[in-house]
Amino acid sequence: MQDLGIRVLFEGENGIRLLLGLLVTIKLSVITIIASCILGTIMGMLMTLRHPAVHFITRIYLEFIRIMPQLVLLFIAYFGLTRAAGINLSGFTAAVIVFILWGTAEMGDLVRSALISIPRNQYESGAALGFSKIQLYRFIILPQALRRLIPPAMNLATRMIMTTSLVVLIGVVEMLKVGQQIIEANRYTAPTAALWIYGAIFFLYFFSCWPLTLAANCLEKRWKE
Amino acid sequence: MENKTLLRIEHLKKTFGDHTILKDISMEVKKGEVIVIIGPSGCGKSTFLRCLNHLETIDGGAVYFKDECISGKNISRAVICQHIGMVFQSYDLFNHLTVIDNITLAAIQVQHRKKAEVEQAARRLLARVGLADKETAYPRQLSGGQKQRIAMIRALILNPEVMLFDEVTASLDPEMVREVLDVIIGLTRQGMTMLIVTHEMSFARAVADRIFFFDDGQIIEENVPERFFDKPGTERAGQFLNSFKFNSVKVK
Amino acid sequence: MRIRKLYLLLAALAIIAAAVFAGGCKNEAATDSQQSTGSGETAFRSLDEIKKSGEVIVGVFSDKAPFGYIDKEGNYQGYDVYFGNRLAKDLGVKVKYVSVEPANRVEYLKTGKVDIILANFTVTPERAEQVDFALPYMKVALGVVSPDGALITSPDQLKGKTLIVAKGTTAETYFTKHYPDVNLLKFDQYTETYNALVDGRGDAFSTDNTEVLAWALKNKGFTVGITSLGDTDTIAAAVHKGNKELLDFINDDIKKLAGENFFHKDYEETLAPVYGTAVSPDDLVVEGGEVKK
Repeated sequence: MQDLGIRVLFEGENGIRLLLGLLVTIKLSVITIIASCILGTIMGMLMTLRHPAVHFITRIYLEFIRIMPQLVLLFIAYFGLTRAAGINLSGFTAAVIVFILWGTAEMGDLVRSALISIPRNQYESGAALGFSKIQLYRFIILPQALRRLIPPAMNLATRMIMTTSLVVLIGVVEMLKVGQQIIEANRYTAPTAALWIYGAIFFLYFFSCWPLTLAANCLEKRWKE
Repeated sequence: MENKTLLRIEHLKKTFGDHTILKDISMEVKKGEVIVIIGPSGCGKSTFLRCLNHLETIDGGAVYFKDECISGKNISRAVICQHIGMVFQSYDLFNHLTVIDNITLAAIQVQHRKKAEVEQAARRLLARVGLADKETAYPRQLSGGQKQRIAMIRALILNPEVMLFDEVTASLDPEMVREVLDVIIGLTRQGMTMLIVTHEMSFARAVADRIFFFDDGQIIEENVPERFFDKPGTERAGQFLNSFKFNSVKVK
Repeated sequence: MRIRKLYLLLAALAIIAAAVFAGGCKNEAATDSQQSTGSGETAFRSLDEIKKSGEVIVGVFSDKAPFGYIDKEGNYQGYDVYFGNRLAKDLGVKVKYVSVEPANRVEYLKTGKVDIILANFTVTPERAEQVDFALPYMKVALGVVSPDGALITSPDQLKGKTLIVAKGTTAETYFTKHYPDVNLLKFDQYTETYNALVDGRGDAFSTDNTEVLAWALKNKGFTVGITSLGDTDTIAAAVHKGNKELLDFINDDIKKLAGENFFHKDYEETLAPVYGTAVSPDDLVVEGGEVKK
């Protein structure tokens, strides 16, 4: 029975399909995490401005995204937009938009708290040396905020990778779904396949997130010296 | 000391909400002059320094540097900070940069000077304050006194014509105060124009050309140090100076 | 500061509530107008448009063997897919399958992202308000599995005996209502019920007939003595509400296919390997849209 289970992994196109599923997962994760980092930094900087209107809008945006489950957001982007406005996005595009909206909001809040944790004196001594606002952020504030940002941002990125499995509900077939398809197709002929497939998925997820953790540890170590 | 006016402040006003911090400050500083400003905490002396280099916006009056108005809103801070350097109470070096990078960053990025030239200058200054071996150290590896001396070099490397010192020894352990003040004394010998806010009275007496006593957002007394410390012209200054003296206190 | 925060939160909540409310109204309005104007609203593709595009888009399950699944070569297979392939052939177009989930089948139709749903869709009155069902092509009822040594072939044999059921299933409701003399042993999970049957803690186990049939085939010594019992649920294709042309086409096709016993062939190809010969195809298959009790 055992060997029958593992054989399923290598039968026909199964292995390739699982890897193609992983590719969808990685593509979605990489695009949305990178975009969220860039837009989240801008959003975080906007949030530290003491402009009432900006503060109000960003706050509402953040609360809205936080209150809405990601699944609801995915349904709104994929089905809701079609129904309300006749806009027909592909499942992948809808997923990219929702994940960027979500990632930007969460990342923005992380950047905001990292920025306000930098003492006021750092801003002032920089200003007294003649740095412009942009130079101040680029050379002094952001590099220091980044160091505090790495652990929570890593956490967010990992959460985003894991949450990509939700996109199956708007028709995007990623790794986990491919796994379920393979398991169900062999449900009657090789019930132990489930163990092997989930094991393979675990390793593939692990090896997708592991480089991130390694890179973060490496950066943290380098900055500690 | 040349007889040329470097800095002229006219009727400076500063308010926070409906609280007036500086009421009406006028002052002229000549090139090479060392001005020491003393007064009780909350009298506005720190705010006064911060108004001179645009860290605070002013609500009235004007500041002139070499007869040129520099207090307007359209004057860029980058330009002012080339001429007026400032060192703060909290020795806030940039924690993510080495000592040498802390010192050279503004010269390279703001003044667009060559890296090699600036680093050479930085090394010279480091050697002068006895910190040549700390070039590659990070701020957290340094003592408070060392950090403050590096903060001074970081301001000096931009070749300012005026230096502002805002209670630079106030958060230092007593044994480190001297090493920092010695740097300022060295600057007086080079003829640097300085405005110093401090609570170190004997230091003030030693370096000041003129003392300004601030209270409640106003200049209460302006005097030469000997007269100010020995026989202050105003009652309020007298009371303030008395709070530093213990010879009338008898224990036992 | 605290008051400000509270005010912000309230404002945010108000806006969200308004957005949800407005969205809800809009959706209802949209469905209303579609119902009243019929095919005037083009949230779906007409028969002509499908034929012109050369491709019909069909929503199927991709992980519900043996009804809709993907084989090891990556192709869609199963009882539903077999029918989908035939529909496309009769339409004279290619077929494109989209993987759907139980939770989004209705949405896929309502937004016109698929033309037809063929995903083991059980006909219920609630769903019939949202989509239009075609004639059924399959039926599901209760099945009762028991050990070969003491095979239960009629519900009356269960009187005074213990029947294992899973909580919240149709089987539980059915036996409570129609056979109060049967002792029910209830479990939360399916695996527990099967274990209880194997351990002999009950005389028989009842749930959907497709489930027990597949299980009995894999477990020697157990047989489904009652293959079809209780209220029969039917399974049918569904189209966008008001897409009458497509609906009529599917219904006509189903009637026509009865002539060649199409769904029995479908059964032989896709379900027989799983359910074996112990079960009569007529317990599951509906031919020509006519459900025989």
